[in-house]
Amino acid sequence: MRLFPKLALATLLGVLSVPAPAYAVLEVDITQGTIQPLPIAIPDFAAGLGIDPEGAREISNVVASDLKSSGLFVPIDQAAFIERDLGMNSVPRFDDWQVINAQALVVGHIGASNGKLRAEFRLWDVLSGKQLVGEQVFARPQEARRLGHIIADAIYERITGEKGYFDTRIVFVDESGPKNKRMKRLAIMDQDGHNVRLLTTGQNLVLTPRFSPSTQEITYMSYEGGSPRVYLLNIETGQKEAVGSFPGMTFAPRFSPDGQRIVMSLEQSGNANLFTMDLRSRRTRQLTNTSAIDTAPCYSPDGRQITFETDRDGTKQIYVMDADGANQHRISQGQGSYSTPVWSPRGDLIAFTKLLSGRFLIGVMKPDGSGERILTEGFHNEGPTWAPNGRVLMFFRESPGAAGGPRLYTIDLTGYNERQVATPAFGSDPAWSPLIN
Amino acid sequence: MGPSTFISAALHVAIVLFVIVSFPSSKMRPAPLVAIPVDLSTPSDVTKVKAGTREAKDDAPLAGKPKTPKPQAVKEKVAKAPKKTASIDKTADDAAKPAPKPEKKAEAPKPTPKPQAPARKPATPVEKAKAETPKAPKPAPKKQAFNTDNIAALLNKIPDASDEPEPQELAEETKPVHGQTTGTDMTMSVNELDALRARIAECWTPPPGGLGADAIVVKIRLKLNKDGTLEGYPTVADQGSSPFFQAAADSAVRAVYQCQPYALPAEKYALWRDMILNFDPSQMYRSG
Repeated sequence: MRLFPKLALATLLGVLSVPAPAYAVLEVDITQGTIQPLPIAIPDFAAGLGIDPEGAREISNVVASDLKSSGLFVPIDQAAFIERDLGMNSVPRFDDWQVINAQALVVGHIGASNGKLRAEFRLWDVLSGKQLVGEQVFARPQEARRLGHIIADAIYERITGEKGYFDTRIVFVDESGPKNKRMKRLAIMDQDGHNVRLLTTGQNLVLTPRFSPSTQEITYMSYEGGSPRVYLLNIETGQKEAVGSFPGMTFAPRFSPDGQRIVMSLEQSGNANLFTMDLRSRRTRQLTNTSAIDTAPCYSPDGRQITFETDRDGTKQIYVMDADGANQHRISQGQGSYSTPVWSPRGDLIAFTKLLSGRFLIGVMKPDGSGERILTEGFHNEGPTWAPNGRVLMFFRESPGAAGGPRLYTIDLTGYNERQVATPAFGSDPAWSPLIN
Repeated sequence: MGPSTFISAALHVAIVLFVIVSFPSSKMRPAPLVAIPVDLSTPSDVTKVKAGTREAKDDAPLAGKPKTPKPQAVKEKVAKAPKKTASIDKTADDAAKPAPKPEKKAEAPKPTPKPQAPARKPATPVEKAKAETPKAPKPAPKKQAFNTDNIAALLNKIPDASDEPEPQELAEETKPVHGQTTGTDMTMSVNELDALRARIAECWTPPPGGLGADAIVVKIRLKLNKDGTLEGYPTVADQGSSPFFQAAADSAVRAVYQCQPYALPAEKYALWRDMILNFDPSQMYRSG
C-alpha cells in the first residue's frame, strides 16, 4: 500500500533531477589589465575665514605633487576643469568630471580651529559617484604642508590598499664645497625635499644616518674626536651622545624595529664583527666572530633576523642570520659583489647594492636569496633605503667628473618610476623615516 | 513493519543511486560544439532554450518570418532544444532511430517555453505570422501534454504517437518567436569572449598590490542594457573588508564603468545581459 506513493516519489525525483541545471550566467575571467596611472582631479582647496587662499592652494598642490611622484596617479590639468567652485558639501556633477577623463576627484577646504589648521576633504569615485573618503585632519600652522602629505596618504591608501609614505622625512648627508674638500653635514627634510634643516655644523665627517622607529632620534657615524664612532642624536632637543665605549672604531649603526637596541660593526685588529647594544642597560653582545669584515647589519621587520654584508667568502656577499647570531648563511648567489642589504619594512624583500663589471646596480631579492631583480643601474649607485610601505626605494647616485657629486633618487619596485629628489646641494646616504603619525 | 521498512530502505537506496547516476552524467556531458543530428540533451541545451525565451519578449515583433530560417536552423536546434528533434523527423534527414530517445528528456524542458509561446502570440500584433501558420489553437493541447500523461509516456518508454505532431508545430513557431533570429548558436564564441576580455583589459588598472594582494580575486556581477550600457550598479559578489580588497574591488568597478558601452553581439543579448566578471590580477604581478 505504501509502496506506490514511494515509487511515484522516486519516479518524480528521478524526473526532476535530470533536467535540473539552472540558468547559467555568463562568467568571464579577466586576468589582464593595464598598468597606467589613475587620472585624478584636484581643484584648489577652498580657504575658510582667516585663511590665505594662496596657502590653501599650496596644500592642494602638495597633494597633487605627492600623488604624482608615486607614479600611480596623474593629476589632471586644472585648465580642463568644467565644474568650478565646487563646494565641500555639494555633490559634484560627475558627468563634467567624466568628460575630462577624471576617475577620482578630491575636494578640500582649509579652515582654522583653536589655533590649528583644519583640512577637510572628500575623495570621490567619479565613475560610480561614490564617496571613497571623507575626513578632516589638523596640523600646526607652521606645518601646513603636512596637511597635504596626510591627505595624500589617505588618498593613496584608499586607492591602492597600501599605506602611504608621504608624511615622512628623510635624514641624509648634505654635501657642499669642492670635491677634494667637501663639507658633510647631517640634514633632515620632508620626503619631497622641502623644509631642509641642518643638524650638524660640518666640522666633522658624518656617515650613515638612520632613523629610530619613533622618528625622534637618529643614529649615525661621525669622526668627531678623531676616530669614527656611532652617535645618537635627538632631533627635537639636539642632544647627542656616543654609543658605547668600545676600544676600536664603530660604524654602520641601525636601530632594531622596537627601538630598544642598536646593531653595528666594531673594528678590532683589522677585522670587523657585529655587535648589538641595549640602549637602556647599555649591555653589548657580540653576534659574529670572523676574521673578515662583517658590516651593514639590518634587522628584519619582526626583529627575528639580521641581514648583513661580509667578505668572508673572498668577495662581499649578503648573509642572513638569527637575531642572536645563530644560523649564519649566505643568500646572494649571483655574479659580482653585493653590499648594503636593507630589509623591506614589509618583510618580503631585501634591497642591496651590487657591483658587477664596474657598474653599480640597485636591486631586490627575497630573504632566501631567490627572485633577484635589478631596479636601476649607474656609474655609482649606493645606499638604498625603503619607504615605510616597502614600495619605493631612495638611494644616492654619484655623477662622474670633477664637478660631479651625489644626488638623491627614488625608484619604485616596478623599476620604471625613477625620480630625482630636490636637495639644496649634493646629498648622500639617505634614510627614510617611518610614517610620522 | 519489518519488510516494509526494508522495502522502503531499498527504494531510498534506489532513488539515491538513480540520482547519483543521472545527475553527474547529465551535467558532465559537454555541449556539442558541432551540430550533429544526434539527439542529445545537455544542460546547456536547457539554458540556451531559456536564454532564448527571455529574449523572445523583446524580439517578439520580429516573429513573423517563420519559414525561411527553418531549414538552416534545424541543425542548431538539434543541439539546442530537445523539442526540435521532432522537426528533424519532419524534415526527414535523420535516422528514425534516435527519435524515441530524446522524447524522454525532451518532455521536461518543453513545458517552460510552451506556455510562453501562446501567451506571446496574442500580445504580438503580427498578423502575418498567424496567417501563414494558423496554429493558434494548437498550443492549447501542448499545455495539456505537460501533465501526468507525459510522465506516463516517460515510464512507458514507447514513443507516443500523440506527442509527435505537437513538437512539429511548436518548432515552426517557437523558432522565430524565441528570438533566435539569425539562427546562430546561442553561446558566446571564443572570439567574442576574447574581444570582451581585451576590451576590459584596456579599462582595468589593478592596484599596484601589496603583500598578498595578487591573490585577491574580485567577482563583479553586472547587468547590461541592450545598447551595452550598465543597467544599475554592478555588485561586488564577494565582500572583503581589507584595504587591499576594497582597492581591488574599486578598481574592478571602475573598469566596468569605464568600459561601457560594451560592443557585444546584439543577437546574443540574452547571454550577456547578466554577466559575472572575475578580476584576477595574479598573472600580472611578476615576482612576489
